[in-house]
Amino acid sequence: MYETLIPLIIALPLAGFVFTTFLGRRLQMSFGRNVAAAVPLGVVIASWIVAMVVVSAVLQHQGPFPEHGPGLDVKLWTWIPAGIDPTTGHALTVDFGFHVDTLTAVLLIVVTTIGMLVHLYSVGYMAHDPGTWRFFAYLNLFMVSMLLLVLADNWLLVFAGWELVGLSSYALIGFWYQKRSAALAAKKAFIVNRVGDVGFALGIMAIWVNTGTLNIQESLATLIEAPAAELTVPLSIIALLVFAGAMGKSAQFPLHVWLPDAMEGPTPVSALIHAATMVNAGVYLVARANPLFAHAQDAMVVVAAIGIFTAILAASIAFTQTDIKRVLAYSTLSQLGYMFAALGVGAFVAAIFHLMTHGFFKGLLFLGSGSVIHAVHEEQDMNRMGGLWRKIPITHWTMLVGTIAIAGIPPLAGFFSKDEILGEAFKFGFTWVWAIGLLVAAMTAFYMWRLMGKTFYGESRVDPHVEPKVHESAWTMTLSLVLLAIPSALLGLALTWGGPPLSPDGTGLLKGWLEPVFRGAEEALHHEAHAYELFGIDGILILASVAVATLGLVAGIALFGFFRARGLRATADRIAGATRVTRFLYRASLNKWWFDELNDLLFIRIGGRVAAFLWWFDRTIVDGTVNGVGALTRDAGGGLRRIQTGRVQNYALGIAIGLIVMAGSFLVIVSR
Amino acid sequence: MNVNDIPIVSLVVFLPLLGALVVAFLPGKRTDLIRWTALGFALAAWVVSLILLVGFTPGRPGFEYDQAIDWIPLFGIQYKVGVDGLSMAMVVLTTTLTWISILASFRPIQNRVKEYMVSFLVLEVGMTGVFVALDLFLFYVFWELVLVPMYLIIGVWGGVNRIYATIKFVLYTLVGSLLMLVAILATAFTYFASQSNAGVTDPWQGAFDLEVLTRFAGGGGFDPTFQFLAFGAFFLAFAIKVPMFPFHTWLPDAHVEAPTAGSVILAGVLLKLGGYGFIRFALPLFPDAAQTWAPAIIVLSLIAIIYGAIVALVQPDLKKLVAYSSVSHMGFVTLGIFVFQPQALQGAILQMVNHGLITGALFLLVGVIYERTHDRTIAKMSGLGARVPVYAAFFGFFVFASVGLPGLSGFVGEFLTLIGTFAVQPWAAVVATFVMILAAGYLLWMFQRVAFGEVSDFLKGLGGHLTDMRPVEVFTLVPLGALVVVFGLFPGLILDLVDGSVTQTLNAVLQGAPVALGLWR
Repeated sequence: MYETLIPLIIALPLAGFVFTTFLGRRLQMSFGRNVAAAVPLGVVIASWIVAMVVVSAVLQHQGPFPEHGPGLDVKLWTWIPAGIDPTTGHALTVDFGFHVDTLTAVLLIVVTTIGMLVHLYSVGYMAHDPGTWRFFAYLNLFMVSMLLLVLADNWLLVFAGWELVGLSSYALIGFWYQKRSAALAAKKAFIVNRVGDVGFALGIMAIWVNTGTLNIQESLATLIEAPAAELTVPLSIIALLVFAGAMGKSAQFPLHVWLPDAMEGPTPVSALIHAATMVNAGVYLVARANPLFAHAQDAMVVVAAIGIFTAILAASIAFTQTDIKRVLAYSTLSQLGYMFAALGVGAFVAAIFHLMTHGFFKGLLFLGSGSVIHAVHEEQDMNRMGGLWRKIPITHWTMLVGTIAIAGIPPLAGFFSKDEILGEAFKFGFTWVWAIGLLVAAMTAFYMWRLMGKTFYGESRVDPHVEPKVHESAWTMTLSLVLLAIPSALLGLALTWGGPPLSPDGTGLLKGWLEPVFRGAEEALHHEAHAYELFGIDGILILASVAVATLGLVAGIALFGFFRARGLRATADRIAGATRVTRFLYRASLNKWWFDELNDLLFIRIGGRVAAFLWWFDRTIVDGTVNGVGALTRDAGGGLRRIQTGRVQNYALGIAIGLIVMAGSFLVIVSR
Repeated sequence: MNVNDIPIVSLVVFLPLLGALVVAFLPGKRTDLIRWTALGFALAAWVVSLILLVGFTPGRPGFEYDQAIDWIPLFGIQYKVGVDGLSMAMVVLTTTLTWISILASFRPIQNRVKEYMVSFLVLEVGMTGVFVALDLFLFYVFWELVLVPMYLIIGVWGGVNRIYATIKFVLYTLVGSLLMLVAILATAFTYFASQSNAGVTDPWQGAFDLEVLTRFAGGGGFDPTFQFLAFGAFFLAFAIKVPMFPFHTWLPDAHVEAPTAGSVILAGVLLKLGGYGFIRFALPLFPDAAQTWAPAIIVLSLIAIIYGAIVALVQPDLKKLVAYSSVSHMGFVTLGIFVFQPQALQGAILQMVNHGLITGALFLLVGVIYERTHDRTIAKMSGLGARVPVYAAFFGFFVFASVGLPGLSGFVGEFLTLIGTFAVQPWAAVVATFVMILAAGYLLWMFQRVAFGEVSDFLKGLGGHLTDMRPVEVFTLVPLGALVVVFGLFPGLILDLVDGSVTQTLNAVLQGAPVALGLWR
């Protein structure tokens, strides 16, 4: 049964995509937008139901998913049958097949649930757009790609999903393609992702050359057992190549530049792609390759360093952005940084935990921001909002839940996962990761409250023409918000039910699920199991993270108000302008540390010059030589034209003699 | 007469010739009759080639459907044809692209229709002939036969600068192919000399026969110096055709001036003649020289891959951009051939087929917009997506196919080439992989500028002339798009077909023993 159900999870949205691509426009013209959206929405709901059936079987160890089992492989057909390399005896046979284990199941929960809610929300959000059918076709395609990425049983099929995710996000970011900024952002996202993909592709090649298989489970087992001397490419290089791909998709420094620009897409896209699913692909990839990383610990340090650096860099930028979606975008970068820091220190379960909770609360925050933007008539600048909390109460209250969740205040979801990451970092000896992470936690609470304060509290700065028309969004949108607010609030508690996720007895729900996937890696890393001490080290760590989060929130409340108006807004600017150091930091934050300018210089100006030079070289030198030879021949011919008699026989004789002479001299040279 | 007695390969080759004769005797004013007759013969050749494909048993070494008739017995020259998997793939690619091109020419070609259709059908004779010839002399005849109709197609129905472009194309190609003729003759002479020394009664017997010569070469018949020079001559002819850096500059000029269908055939089939020549003739005949030359050819391929992509970035003209992208994509073909690794060679062959489909489609698409705007300047085209959405959707599909999106056919060929290269020359693979970024760069930048943004004043000025795709145009692109999807999901269809050719070629070069090239290791 599961052999049929698992492909169905992908086949349903695929059918929806094909159907809507070819018939969506006609449906929309004849029967209206809601009818055009019905099929794409229906298939993702169906896909969600099927996925949940599979997920519950996997997590409750029913049917073909016994406890400690390797998971279920479903092979559909042989995608690339490319024979055997006689030098090594390696066969290059790539299946079109799926692998489902508990890690897959956890990802399926996030992807299908949030995907479904985003589809639902989009029915309301895109209700006035002439391209509704096209939007839903792209959304379906995105679901296909993301599910392929998560379900694939081999590296190359992961890569295929990976690239298709890139394609669908290109289409979705550039959905309003007549807007120049949207078109540019779409292209930027695809190309920056491709930089990482080069690394991933090379990693895949290195894996095959060293193991003779592209199947994920088999190749990992072979890699970690192979003696280092037999590997043509060291494990840590392979790990870093794979990580390069993860850096692209998950927008880690220095490949983070595409994500904030990607906010040009419609807001449901930002929620789906840039918060809840696509950007998690990198985290999933590294988690999936955990045995590889566990045996390449120098690579893990790089992962941790890049992760935590991205976390603080992005948080510092989020301080001064005024576009509500950009603040959330930088916040996403920062939270993804946390996840990579967790992976880097070896806290794999914690990384996946944060992936889940973040998916829900950030999805909520993005969809909430979309509701706000809708309410104030497509205005995204927070300086033109304020005082909205009474007018759009459902949006306000759900976003407040999201904010407290991301800030890390117990008992909401973000607290559990973030605390888990910081605690593990500390206990595994990465105190620097812990210290920076703690600082980022305070910053997160602060900039999130800045967002809430500027949007919902204080005096209204909304355009007076729009002001009277501000109203709460359609029911499909608010329903999605409420449905996301519930896990944002409770998921942390739920997943740690029975004990903290990493407690040695493994009684925490998520820990229990994921234990078989990460057991090998954790053993390789020699993580000592020690008792969870609520009244010892663990309690102190919790206190520390709650304290910094509260500090950040209080600072935010002091500067940006809480429900009623405060006159302190100017204080923020005063502080920013106070000293030379803060002035510099303020400008740096506002200008996103000038990364776009740097890339512009490197790739547009200098790269453009190189390309222009090469084209000149091509025309003048390469082609110039060709034409020069031609001209020389012509001029020489002018001198020799007297022997042109105009008799064909003479020419034929000439050609014959010439050939004989050439062939003869050839032979003379050769036979010498 | 038994079915097996029908010389079906010759039928594919000469049906278009018959078509050309028939068209030549039709009254010149009945243009529609001429068009449909030409299309009919092209379709007939296509159907016969499909019959050939269905009856073909892949995986067997050697050639099938072979047919040999003495032609010039004095020198052992034969009319000898036959197909293996590689030939089969190339022949079907050719017959497919030919009828599509003829159909796509119905509207754009309005003057001298008869001459145009005759040229096109003769062109098909030359191209299929090259892919099935098993006699070196016959091969050469077909090889040169291709030049004449292409010379006319560019020179008569081309753009403003057509005379310059077509003369450049013909002279450049001739330089290479005449040297190849010398090498062919020298090869035959060498064989003749050794046979007469051995006292064979008819030493010319088999002197031009590819299979005989391959066996002779496999036995060490050609000494290294001879091989080095003869390979050099073959190399020049094929490298110009591919075209490899630095012999590529005829290509952008020829493409820009050629009519749409000419560009389709040029990119789709003519460039493949070079890659095919390497695999079929240069490697098996001169295996030692192939290994000697390989490092240099790998370097040139890498330059072509990266350089072609960078130069494509800054092209202001759509056709030139696609032309330079061809230089880059064909670099994968020569790279895959000359690392002498089975996966890489399979990748190279796949890449030949895929490049034919995808680039052929891109040229068709450029032609569609050129017919309406009489312009190909990227800077003038912004906003096509809003004005002609169906066109933009087709364009986007093939752009992403060309970028190498997995699931579409371009990806598998490139990836196999890369992974095979990585196995023997890791650094070459690292360099080549970077084209992933550049290809996304030049293609998406182009697509953004023409398809996205506000509708440009230039396009607005065209008013009602700028119509969306006509059914015929859709009909020419749909088969290509379908094949791109099918081969993307089931590349095994081609891989199984060419399996025997790959094994045979590599056995000929490596002579059973895997050889380390030792260039970067």
